[in-house]
Amino acid sequence: MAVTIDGNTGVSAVQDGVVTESDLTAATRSTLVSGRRNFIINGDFMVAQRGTSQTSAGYGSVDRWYLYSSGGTYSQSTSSPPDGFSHYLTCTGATGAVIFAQAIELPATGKAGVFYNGQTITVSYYAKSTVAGDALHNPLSFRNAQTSITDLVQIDNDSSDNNVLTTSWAKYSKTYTIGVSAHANNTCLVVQPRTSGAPSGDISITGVQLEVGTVATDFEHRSYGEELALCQRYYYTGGVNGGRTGVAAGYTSSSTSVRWTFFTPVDMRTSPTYSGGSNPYAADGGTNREITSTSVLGFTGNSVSMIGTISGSGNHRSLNISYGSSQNFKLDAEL
Amino acid sequence: MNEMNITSAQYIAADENNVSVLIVVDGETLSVPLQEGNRHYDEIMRQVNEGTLTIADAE
Repeated sequence: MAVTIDGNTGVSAVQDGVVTESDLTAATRSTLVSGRRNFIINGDFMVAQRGTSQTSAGYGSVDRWYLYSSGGTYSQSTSSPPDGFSHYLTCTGATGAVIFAQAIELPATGKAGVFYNGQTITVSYYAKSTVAGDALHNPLSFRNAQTSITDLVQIDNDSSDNNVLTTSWAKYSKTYTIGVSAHANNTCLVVQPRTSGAPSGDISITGVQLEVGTVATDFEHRSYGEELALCQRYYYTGGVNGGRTGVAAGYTSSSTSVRWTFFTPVDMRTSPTYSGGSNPYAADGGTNREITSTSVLGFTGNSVSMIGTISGSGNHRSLNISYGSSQNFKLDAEL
Repeated sequence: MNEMNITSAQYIAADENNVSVLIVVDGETLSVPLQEGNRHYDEIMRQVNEGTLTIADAE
């Protein structure tokens, strides 16, 4: 790269001939950074296929986030986000530690990919509390699954390395150097912005970003549709609204078994767990037969083969699979 | 964070083969495919191997 010295702006910062991030102004860095930077999915909490609030630990509301606190209620909110955001997540009433956890899928089991030993990563987010002084730190670990502690490899777990919150939105960031390698069975890198114990106030967070490098760049805003598609690799729900509706064509593989296929919008991560608000039915020659014991039989990408049990039918019959009004089915391939 | 609180587990059979495990976790009923890498299945097998969970035969 040629360097032009025009007599108006001196070259003072680059004395060693190497341009690093710290030699650039924030505005310049913001202009230069491009491409997919944020490894966190749904970091601004826009997508909530399961619902907008939860009290139980687990995946229960905003997509991709495993939320946990004793006595707390997590709610997706829109009333007063920080500038540049439309949504955020708030935990109210917690009597124990408040945890916002996300598992970032590794490129393959046991393969850390970009998160190699020696890599530098930066975690950033906007947060606040209703009581100043509450604090968040960011445990990082390689795991076999979000909640698994088998083969866990800790990257950082310094509970004294806190971001101390105020009652106003502010951006916080921490940089970490990965000093370990993933275990051969690890499938994900888990990041958990959390409090050490019960907070004094209600904790709100949004704009969560995990990126390579030492600089917390501006949050990478993605469209709702793009973010939803990223989430649907891990969870998909098909709803029925407005009365009983057919969702798939099926057939009987025996007099008691019925098979059909759910096609998902994107390839799911693995063969998903199935659940439903109620049992589906099969329209069969003028009779609507309830299907029980519904199971995932096979899986290839965006095609999830299902099997269930019916009675009173016959072999090799064409059927129409339906769910009742306001019912849905759920396919869960979360980490 | 706590691990899954599985309160019951039973194989589901179709066409005379086991095809999934029906489990109840925190009051929710889930049909889990027999697939390593599925987090529910992996957790079921971990608990089975530890002797803390038994999967009932299909009806």
